[in-house]
Amino acid sequence: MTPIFRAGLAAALPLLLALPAHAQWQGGIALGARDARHTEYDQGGRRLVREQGWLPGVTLDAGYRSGDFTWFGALEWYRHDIDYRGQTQGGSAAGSTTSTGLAAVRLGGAYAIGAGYSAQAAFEVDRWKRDIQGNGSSAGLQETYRSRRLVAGMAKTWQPAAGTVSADAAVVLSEPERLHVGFSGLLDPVSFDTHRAHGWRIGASLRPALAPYLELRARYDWMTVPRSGDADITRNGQFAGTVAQPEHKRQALTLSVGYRF
Amino acid sequence: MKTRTLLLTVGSALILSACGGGGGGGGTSSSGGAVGTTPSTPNTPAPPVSTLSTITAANAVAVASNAFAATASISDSSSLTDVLTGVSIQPVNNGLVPTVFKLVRHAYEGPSLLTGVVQNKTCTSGGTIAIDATLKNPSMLGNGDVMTMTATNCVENGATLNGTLKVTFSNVTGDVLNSSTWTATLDSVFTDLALASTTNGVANVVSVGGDMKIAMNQENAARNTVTITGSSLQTTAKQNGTTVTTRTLSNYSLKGSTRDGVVTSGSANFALAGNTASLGQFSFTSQNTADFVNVIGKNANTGAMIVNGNASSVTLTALNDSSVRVDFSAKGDGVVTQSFTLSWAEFLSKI
Repeated sequence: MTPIFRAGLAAALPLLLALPAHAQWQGGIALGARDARHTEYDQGGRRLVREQGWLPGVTLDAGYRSGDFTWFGALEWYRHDIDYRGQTQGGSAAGSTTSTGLAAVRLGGAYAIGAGYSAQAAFEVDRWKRDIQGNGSSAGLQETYRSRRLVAGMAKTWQPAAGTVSADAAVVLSEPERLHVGFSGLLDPVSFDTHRAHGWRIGASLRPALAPYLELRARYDWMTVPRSGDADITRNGQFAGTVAQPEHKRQALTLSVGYRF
Repeated sequence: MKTRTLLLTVGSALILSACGGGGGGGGTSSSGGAVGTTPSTPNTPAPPVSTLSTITAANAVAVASNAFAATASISDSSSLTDVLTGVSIQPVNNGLVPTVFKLVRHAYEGPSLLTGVVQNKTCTSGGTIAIDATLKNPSMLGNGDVMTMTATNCVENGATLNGTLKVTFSNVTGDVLNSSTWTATLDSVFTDLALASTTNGVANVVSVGGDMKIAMNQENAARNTVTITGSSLQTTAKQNGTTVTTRTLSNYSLKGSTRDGVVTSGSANFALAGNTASLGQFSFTSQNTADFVNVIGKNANTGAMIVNGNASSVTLTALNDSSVRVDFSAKGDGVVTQSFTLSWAEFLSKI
């Protein structure tokens, strides 16, 4: 488990489990699967790398409502090996596996506007661990991306006979990712920043009338991060060239089933 | 392990070629007496106007010298025997071809790393090169390999390279990078590729743009043949920041070979236009009439080429490896109007 997740879990679980259910408090735990797709492109727009696969995971969330305001926090963690289809640095096609971990912690608030609408904003810290495995003829890379984001948007809730249905949409604004790269010992590790980015997040959920403690949720995330500038790399302390993170797109479809209390 | 570079020297050699008209009087061309009038026939089309420059007795040697430079690199022993060792390109005393081929080798060097981040490699003596390649084999050059190399202050062979070169490989047989017997064709496109160096205190920059196809057959360590063709190649040469020459080579072809220390070059055929400080705007065509032959390290000892201008021409003949003869024809009809005999060194300095 990542340090972010451990810290959040340590804070959230006692709160969620020890406090009695209260009209102003909400909480939930969900199990989910995330179809993550990461693609990278060279400066000519040609795709260099495509990673894709399903990652199982868990989400914890809690919220406190006071009048028209609701304050909320959430932790999510997804991890699994996904398929890598890319190339060597020299341009030869290569296939492998990427051990991927996606973690995020989110704190924010919502304001009920009326007629089922609410405005929402949240601060989010995202961590993406990407370990591209070597494939026998080529060594892999060990990458970690950290970024801070602002997620702002709207939500709408309906109350049909079937249950409670919600839909939400938000724009995601990201500070430059802080990227740390290891080169399997062939070069010295390096850290550098990418560029600001923006994306979208849309979601929908259903809490069936017959089982209001259940929540079925789907969410789609999309973000494009521009190519970074060049960062110097070294080998045993000696200059060995430069490295850059190509333009990359992060897409994910998350499906989850949760228990609400 | 013997490395070979393919001959882009001709392309770089094309840097040297240029010569052209400009006015200039003098010479021994005869001028006519009274000009009578002849009734024109209605509906007779006007004769075509030549776009070539006029060669005069005053500039004939310079014209020939510039034209010879276009084939000089093929005659240069180092350029064919071991194309990695360099080609003397005046005023830049570094080979464009071996420098460029070193860049090609970078794509196949070093331990193989998968792509997540993308790496720009260091050049031998400083700077970096970004290689965007599609290779079938990471350790061996093959048919269909395509690479685009963007150099940023890349120092190779004592010269600093900036700009972009795209190369597509075809007709590849054998191991181009590691053996002495192979064939390959390189379709190359230069985009503002600049080669900078300092010679005798003079800062030289040669910029190249355009296309070039190099077909090379390396038979063994001491024998090869090369054919270089292209539709358009533009070169600009600067010295200490001042533009000295600009040249555009059009529809060009050159052939050459090396056999056991003897270099033969010929079959050069090209159109050249541009501007030099000494000649101004110029335009002419050139072709070999006899192959130039030289022993590696020496000037050509035989061979001839003709340069055609507007109703004028000049022929260069290698008398031996010490001297040349330049024959000027004021009317371009093969009748020699004036001849000049000079040393190779003096002739080459007349660019």
